[in-house]
Amino acid sequence: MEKVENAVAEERMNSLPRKPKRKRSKVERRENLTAFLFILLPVIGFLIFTGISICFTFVFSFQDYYVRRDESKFVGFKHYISLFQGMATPGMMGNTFIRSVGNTLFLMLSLPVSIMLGLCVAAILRLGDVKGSKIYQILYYLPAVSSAVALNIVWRYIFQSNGLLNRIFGAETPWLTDGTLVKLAIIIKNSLNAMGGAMILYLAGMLNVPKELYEASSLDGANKLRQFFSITLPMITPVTFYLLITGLIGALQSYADTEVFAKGYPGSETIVYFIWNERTDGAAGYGIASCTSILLAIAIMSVTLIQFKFSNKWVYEE
Amino acid sequence: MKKGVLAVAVASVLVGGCLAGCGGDDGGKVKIEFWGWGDKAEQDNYQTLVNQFMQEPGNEDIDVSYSGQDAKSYMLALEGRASSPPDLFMLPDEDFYGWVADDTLKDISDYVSDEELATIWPQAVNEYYFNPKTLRLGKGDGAKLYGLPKDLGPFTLVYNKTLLDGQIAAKNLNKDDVYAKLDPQSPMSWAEFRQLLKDLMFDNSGSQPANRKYSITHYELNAAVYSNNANYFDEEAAVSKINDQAFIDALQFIVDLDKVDGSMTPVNEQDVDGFTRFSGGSAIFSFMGPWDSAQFWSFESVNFPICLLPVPYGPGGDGQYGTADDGVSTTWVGSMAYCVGKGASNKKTEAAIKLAKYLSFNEKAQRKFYELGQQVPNIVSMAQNEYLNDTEGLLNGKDPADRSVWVNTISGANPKIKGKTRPTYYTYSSTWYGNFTKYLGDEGLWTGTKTAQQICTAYHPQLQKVLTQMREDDLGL
Repeated sequence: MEKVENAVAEERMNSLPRKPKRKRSKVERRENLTAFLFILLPVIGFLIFTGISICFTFVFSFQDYYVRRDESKFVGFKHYISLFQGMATPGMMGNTFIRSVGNTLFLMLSLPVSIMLGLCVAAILRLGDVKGSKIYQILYYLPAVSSAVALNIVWRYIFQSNGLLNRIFGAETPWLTDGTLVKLAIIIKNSLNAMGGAMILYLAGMLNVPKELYEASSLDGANKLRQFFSITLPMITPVTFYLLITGLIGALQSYADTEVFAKGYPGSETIVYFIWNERTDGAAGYGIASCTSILLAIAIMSVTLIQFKFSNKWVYEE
Repeated sequence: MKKGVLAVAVASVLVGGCLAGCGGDDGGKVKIEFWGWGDKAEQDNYQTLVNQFMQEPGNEDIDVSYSGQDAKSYMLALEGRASSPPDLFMLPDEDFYGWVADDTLKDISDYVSDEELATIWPQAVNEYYFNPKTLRLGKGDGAKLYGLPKDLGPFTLVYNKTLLDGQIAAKNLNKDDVYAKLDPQSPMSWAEFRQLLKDLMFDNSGSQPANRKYSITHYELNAAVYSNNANYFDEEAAVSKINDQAFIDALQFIVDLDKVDGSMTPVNEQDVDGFTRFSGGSAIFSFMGPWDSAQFWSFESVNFPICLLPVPYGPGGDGQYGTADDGVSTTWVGSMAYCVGKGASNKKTEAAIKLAKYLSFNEKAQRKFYELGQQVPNIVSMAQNEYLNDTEGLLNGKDPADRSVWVNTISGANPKIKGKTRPTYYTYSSTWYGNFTKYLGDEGLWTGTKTAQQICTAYHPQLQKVLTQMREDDLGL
């Protein structure tokens, strides 16, 4: 019955006179051309430096590639299979890969922590009557505009065995030479580094919340706390959504933490660090690194798509 | 008409560009690109030598563009240029096999005469011979020369004399007895060295990690392995030998310095490299190469005198001294080669080789290098006399005084002291070494979670697999 209704509707649609295509004016065409030219450069840049690289990476993932000889040999799914082989055997590549996946996921804990901290600081600065609030904003935001390498070097000085932290507390905590503590140190470091960026975005988001909502709720007797949870928080969900998307992508691509901060110490290796190391491992190295990159790209895309899919359930849209 | 002018202009630019790209001559000068690596001081030293080279009579027609990078980014940049490398570049001996087997280096045999090479350490130059037919390393029938040596290291023990003397006094030790053990001509056994380190131990109770002092900062893996008559694999780099008792004992020797004796900095306090900690005065003994010398010449950075010492030797696989398989004090030698890319034009190759020869064995250049504290001279006669005895007065009492340790390690003149190339020189890729040392850390060798026996036995099949893969898949042997 339903099928029949659909067919009838389709027939009706087809029988309607089609709207003739409007010819674009010269001005419109010129505007379109200008717009196209403006985006041409980034598009070319993307195609050359990202699009083609992705294609090559995909091809390399099925090959043994001798970079210096510029020779390659098709090996099918060999690298994909060997990536997961020996997952439970220490010293085997599969084991290192799984460990790097585990580390990357664990280190993602810094994302909710930094978002929470950023939100709290933004709320205090916005809603509380804080003197010198601008100075605090600049100070908290400073890590966001600083070089990641420089920051990691400074944090390393703080966390090393004879570093600032241990000196202040008179402790002997081996932050950088213990597999678990090094992860904790990275989470602390990343949470504090990313807090400023989150804070600025939340502050901007809070400024955009219509004042009428607060006025109306005040008339209804809502206090500041109630206003924050019932008005501010739902209205700034797009900021939270943005922070989650970019944060997750960034966390999955983490590299400097391992390389610069932890100097590759066991327990700190991430997926990208694994890719980086495998790259040098003979002819198969490029293949392994490439297939890991492809899997990582798929994972990032999937996570992002899932986030977008469910965003309509919690993200406020005008 | 306009279109015609435009076409001519475009054509001129294109042709001009092509000619500029093909040439490299500038006013009759041959321009060459030279890539080197090292820390800032080393890069400055090389720039000095390159400038000196260009000012030499006969080199007026060569314009060298030198670019130095730190070790970490150097190989990445070089790998990226593998298909068209710089005209002259430094290549670590650890990567030489892979590069030469992949046919990326120029055969320079015809550019260098045997007479020229006869002046330098034979082992330094023999390292960079390769037979393209048999794919074997080293000098022999059919082997061609693919690089000239930068230097031969080596990497030996060093001690802080101020800290040592202070500890001798603090522990009421007999100074003559201690110094008798520190004979640069006669290495100690592992047993003697362990005892000495224990005798010199500091009392760290109640002190913060930053203030703790140890007898030794760390111990070089290769120095322990080689000095116990052990190796990672057989002579062909085909069969893993890490499950041999001599190899296992070498690893356990290092672990025991910390876990049993407590004389070495514990691994959880080793988050800064050993030499940096040594420079900061946190240990009596450490390891250093000649390139670190200049750091001790400025009291602004380091303010204590240093002396060199040959590495101690182990008892071999049987664990008994005085038997046939006793080890000999052996540390690693070698470093890098000056290589020319296969695609370099004749003109550029000639200019590049001229510079490589200058840096590798020109008397004036070698003298400048040791004066700058960069290296032991490659020229045998210069190293054994002028450098050792400072006959030119260029070192003027600068540390280290016992330079004979380095010269003996290179020359092999003292049968008790030897040098051996790093294990990665013998393999197609050096990645396996990093993976192995990482495995040692991951599995808790240095923290004492597992013994060297357990770890080496477990990793032996994995190393064997990698060795076979490198020989069969990568080299096609």
